[in-house]
Amino acid sequence: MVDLLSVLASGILVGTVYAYMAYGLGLIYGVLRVVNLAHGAFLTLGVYVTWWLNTTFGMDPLVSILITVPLGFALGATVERTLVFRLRDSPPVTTLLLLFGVWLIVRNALYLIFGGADRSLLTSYSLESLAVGPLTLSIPRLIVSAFSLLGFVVLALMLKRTWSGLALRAVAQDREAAALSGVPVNRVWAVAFGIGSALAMSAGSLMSLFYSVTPEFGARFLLKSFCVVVLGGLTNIGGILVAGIGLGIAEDLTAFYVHTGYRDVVSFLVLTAALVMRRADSD
Amino acid sequence: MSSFARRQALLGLGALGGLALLAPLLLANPYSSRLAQLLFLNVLLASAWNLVGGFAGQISFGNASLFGVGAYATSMLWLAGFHPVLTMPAAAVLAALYGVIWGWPCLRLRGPYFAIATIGVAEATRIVANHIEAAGGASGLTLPLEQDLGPVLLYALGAVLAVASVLVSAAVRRSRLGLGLIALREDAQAAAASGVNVARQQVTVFAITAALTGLAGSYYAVFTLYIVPEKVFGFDLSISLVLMVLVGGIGTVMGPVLGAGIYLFLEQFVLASLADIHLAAFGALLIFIILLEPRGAAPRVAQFVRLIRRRFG
Repeated sequence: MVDLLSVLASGILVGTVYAYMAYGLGLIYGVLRVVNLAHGAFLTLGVYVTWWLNTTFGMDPLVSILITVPLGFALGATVERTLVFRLRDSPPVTTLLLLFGVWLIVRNALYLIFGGADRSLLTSYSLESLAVGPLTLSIPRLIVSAFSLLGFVVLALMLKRTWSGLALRAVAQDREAAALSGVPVNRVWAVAFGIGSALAMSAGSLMSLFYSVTPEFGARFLLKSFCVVVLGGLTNIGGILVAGIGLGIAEDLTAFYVHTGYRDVVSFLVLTAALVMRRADSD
Repeated sequence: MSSFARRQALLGLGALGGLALLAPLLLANPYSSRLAQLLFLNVLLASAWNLVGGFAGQISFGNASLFGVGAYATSMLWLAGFHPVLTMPAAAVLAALYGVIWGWPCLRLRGPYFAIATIGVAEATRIVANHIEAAGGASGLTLPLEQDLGPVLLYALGAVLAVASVLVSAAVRRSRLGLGLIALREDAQAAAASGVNVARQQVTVFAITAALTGLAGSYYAVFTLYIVPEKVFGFDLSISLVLMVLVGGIGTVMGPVLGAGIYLFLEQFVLASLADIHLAAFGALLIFIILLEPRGAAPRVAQFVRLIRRRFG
């Protein structure tokens, strides 16, 4: 029983991070109708930047979010302005391939700068844990989970209460109607891609607290992000949160009761099944 | 025999004859015969991918899962005592079966959704393959080196497979099946409304893709004599097929052949000297093609051939 409870607790904690990590992908798809295959690149970049700031300046990973958010925004908006923008009227698959090219370049750059070795960082609280009744919860996971939820709240407020949020939602609903009502669609696209990338890079900062990183880091988490977004509904904040937690729990149950090696198989199979079930009839 | 079939048969025999004449040159040393084997492999893989990727516009990032099934089928049967060439039909059938198992549900998806689903399937397959101890697990399988088929037989085998894949591709392109796929690519709803059985046609063609990709995996196992899941089920393999076809010309019969050659040349001669930046070079190539030459090299080459004909013909 205690086993099951602690597996569930750890699944929930990881799941909130999954949801946060995936949200940028959903936002970009919702507004631009573009599948951001470079999402994994931004996640990985976020972990590396955080690792580098920590090992060089001793900066706490949570503080480095203040850097990864604007950096991610700038990089994402640049990618949109220089590349994605040119393909705005092409079939979605071409943009997907284009962004895959961006991912390859980023992966290569990371190999050149950091090498292929596993990098991980250690903070004063990395190994701390908190006893709650019969459960032992890891402090970094609790912190990261709390930050993810906070990120969700900030994002939801931004989308609901600000003019930019309104513009984003308008473009997501109907690009032409939004343009006719005076929304600067081009700028909204760049902003959406920027926010999506900023979310991904800051998710990287959070994940650096309990994952080690290589340039290949992004691939696994890209697929998990897809999984969460497809299950949860592309821009539905609540749905994404539930899907993230669901995936976290399903993975931890598999790892604990079946085999740790099969942890990732769950997300890939769930991804495919979810795609087939959700999309088959609507398209 | 229809005139199309007769012409294709003649073209096929001509291509095989040409490859037979080139054989002494390509079999001159171990390196050149390996290059020929890789070229045949690439042509087979790219033509197979293009059937669904090019004609139907369904971009698969998961063909490595079919390649791996073919490679493992041949390797395990070979180790069980069967002659490697006799294992090839089994490899094709098993790969086709696996292709239908996951293609049947996934092909109902379109565009980016299909592409993402194929990544999911292929990665799940790779992880599972890494954990099957009966098939050597993550360390893979080493095949009996002393039973190597020898360069001449491998060359002939590769040539037949490559030429056959191009003929199959031409036949599919011309058939009712191929026309249905192209109609589907251009407008899925209009195709369905005109009576194209969208789902069944795609699955049928995907089964052909899968069988050919399985044969490629089988051929790969036979000439490299060593397979590991990370390689034969790897994402990099799936990506290289997409690149080959895009470079050559997506949705045409000769495009994949051209792309297979260009890709091999780039990989062997250009990237070998740029090992540190080969991922970035592929990424840059991909971006370049998509932004500037989305139809690949085939139209340019066709233009060039027409020019030559007009000048000399």
